[in-house]
Amino acid sequence: MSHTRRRRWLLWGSVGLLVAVLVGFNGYRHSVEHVRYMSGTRSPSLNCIPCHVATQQDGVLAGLWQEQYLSPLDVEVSRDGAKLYVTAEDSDLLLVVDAREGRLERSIPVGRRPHTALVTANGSTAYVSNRWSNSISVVDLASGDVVSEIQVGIGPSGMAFGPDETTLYVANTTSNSVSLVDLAAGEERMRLVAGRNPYAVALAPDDETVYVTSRLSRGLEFREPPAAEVTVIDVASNRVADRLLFEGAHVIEGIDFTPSGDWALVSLIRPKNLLPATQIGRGWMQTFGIGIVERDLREDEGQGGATEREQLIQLLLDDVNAFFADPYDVAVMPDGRYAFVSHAGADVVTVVDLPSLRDFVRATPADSLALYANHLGVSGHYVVKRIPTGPNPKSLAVSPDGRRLYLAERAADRIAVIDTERLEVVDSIDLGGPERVTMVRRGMRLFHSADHTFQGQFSCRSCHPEGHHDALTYDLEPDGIGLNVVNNLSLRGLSETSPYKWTGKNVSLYRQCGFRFAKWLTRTEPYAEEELHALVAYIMSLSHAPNRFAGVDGELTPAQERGKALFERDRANDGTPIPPENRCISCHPPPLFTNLQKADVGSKGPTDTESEFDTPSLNNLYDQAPFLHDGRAMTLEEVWTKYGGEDNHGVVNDLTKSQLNDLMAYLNSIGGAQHGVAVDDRAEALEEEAIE
Amino acid sequence: MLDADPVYHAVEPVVAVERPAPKTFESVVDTSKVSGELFCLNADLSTLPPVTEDAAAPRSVAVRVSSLDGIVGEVPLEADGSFYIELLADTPVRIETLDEDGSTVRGPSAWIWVRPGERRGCIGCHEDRELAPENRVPMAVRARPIVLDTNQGQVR
Repeated sequence: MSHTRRRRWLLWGSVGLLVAVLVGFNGYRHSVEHVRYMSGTRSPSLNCIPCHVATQQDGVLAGLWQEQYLSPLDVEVSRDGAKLYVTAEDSDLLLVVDAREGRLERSIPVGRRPHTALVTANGSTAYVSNRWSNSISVVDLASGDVVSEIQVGIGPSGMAFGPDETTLYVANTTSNSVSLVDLAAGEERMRLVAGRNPYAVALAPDDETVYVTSRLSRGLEFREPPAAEVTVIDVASNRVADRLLFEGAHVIEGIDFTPSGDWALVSLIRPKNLLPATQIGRGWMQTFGIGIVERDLREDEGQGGATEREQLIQLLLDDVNAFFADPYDVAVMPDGRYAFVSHAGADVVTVVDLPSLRDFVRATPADSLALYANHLGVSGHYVVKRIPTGPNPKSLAVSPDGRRLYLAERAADRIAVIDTERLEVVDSIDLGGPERVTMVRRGMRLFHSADHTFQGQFSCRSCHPEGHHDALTYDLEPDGIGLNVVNNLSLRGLSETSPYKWTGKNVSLYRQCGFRFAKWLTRTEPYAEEELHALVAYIMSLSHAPNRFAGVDGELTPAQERGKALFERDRANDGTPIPPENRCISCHPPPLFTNLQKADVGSKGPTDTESEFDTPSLNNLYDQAPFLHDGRAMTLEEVWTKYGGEDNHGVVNDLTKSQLNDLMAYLNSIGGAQHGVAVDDRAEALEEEAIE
Repeated sequence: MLDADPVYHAVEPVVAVERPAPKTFESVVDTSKVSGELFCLNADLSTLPPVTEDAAAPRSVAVRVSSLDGIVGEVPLEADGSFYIELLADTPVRIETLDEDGSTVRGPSAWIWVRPGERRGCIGCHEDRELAPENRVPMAVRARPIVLDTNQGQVR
């Protein structure tokens, strides 16, 4: 009997046994009551499976129910165009594909959650960034073995070779830095401070600068528009030469240069989080576009060298009545004719005609260009086609001859092949993922698709990149315009932290994502019941990344130990007893570090109508700034200093600065022990050095 | 074909093709309420020329709201040009912008109204319809809306 058949027999046998038990012990009625109580809904099609089976990640049930998808994220083409190198995010693999035959050749295990693959010019070695292993896998492509692991910062994602492939520039997304790896020595040599959530990296054609995009805004003031950074690194000195800010934009995830290097093109989102969310049409929630770094490469006679005076331009790729959510990657043709942009939420690739775009930019006065950053009627000047793709299109790569564009269709486990003359998909490479679509997989597709918002304006992912958060605050409508602005929270690790919303009004994610969600946020039809079950199952399956601030077995550093004692203390520094309700651990008990109750911590602001808020979980707090219900605290420290009040949020006003530092050190480590990820002392030291 | 039949005199025929049914959306109208709200991000943002003969349009400092029965009220604009008002629902009004002397800068607008419980937002007054709003907190929504009693003609 094949494995699949045996698995099917086991599955249905288990279901039959369960049904027999339920019937025999009148369990059906109790089960229905339980489902209704836990979900807060009376959905007739909701059963045990979404919560107790579909979301299981480990154990027997997971083995029976789940599939191991590949989820291709990044695709690279070899210099001769013969091979594709694809990272399979959900299977921890580097896939080697015969580009001409359209056939998977080899699967090479790498680190956890691989992101980007880079291959040396001679095709001998691949470097793969592993976001959850905080490392770069060095792969000998002849043998297919990982020959070494290079430790870098937290959450390495985008990478680029420096000139002559001597240095590897790595964006450490979670630790907000760029690692410079000496490839001859096989170790990290330097770490530079980047923007917040650095993501994509590209070397300019002149080999003089490296650009690193950022997803979030660094030091964003309360209720101010975002401004994400593109960090410019001077290759000769290995120093940050400039920090370019795209005002009003964030989630800059893709970058490519024109062949001459006069433009760097990036993908970006222009959110409208500061406006009352009373409508969607005309881009009242999100708009999507590109940014242009117009680089002046004229020789400066006075200095005797090339100078760069960048002008930043933003233009939308949306139309008035149709939005193209979540632009991800940018790829420019070798002849500079087209730039392609993948829209991960709209399942299309936009084709930008670069000569037309240049004409448009040249013919438009600077003040009008600034206005056009919010204009939905100009994309027709430079967008020549929208190419439909499979679900969740991500990374793009152009073949060296410019005739083929390869696209990772993440939610289909396929690579689309686009003819760059005909501008249409001409082939599809099956990477060998499972054919069956599980409930979680279906939910993953729904989560990343803008199909369920009015005019396709945004997906869940638009505000929750990778199920996390966008670090913005929103003014949602139901509780009044200008009132009760809320801090957008991460969706990771939510499965057991009911209730939801800052007000704690939703007992389940079924309520959170249900009818009212459609009425007040997506402004279109609510999800059908089966879709809602799948979406909730996917959200419940999202887990935190490994916490690098905690030790392998949960052991703490001396500072974290001292912070833990403060977190659990029952007496203030002067010996005064702290009432149980005002101790940190009372409201934030392990393992979730929330008591799932509402509390008044004195954070009510002038525009709030309530003073009690849901107690958030503290797991992986270290990358969840801003804090408090309305996101007014930019850092964890501000929670108890700038907004500390009168010891309403735990007794902390007696703490010395060093004690507060210890408390922060402990809080940053919360949620890490169970992942079993080692803290690399050397990497930590480099991190601290970069911050200084 | 009908479009070629001289009897029918078809003008601008459109090819009807099968397509997915458009999605509906849930109304936010709450019939238990008697009023709705209207906020504008910048009343001076307009493609209409000012009614004055001055080449440079004076900056508006207020908007005047008029119903069929006359002036309902005048509401000062915030420094960023925003205003936020509550109106009797389903009651047509016209809006014009005013300068410091109370003279009309632009308008009055066509008749507009709000539905019960509706919160309607505008980017400007007769602004470019292809413009998406700028992402900033409108100053006017930092306070509760100014309530205009359309029946009484008073600002409360």
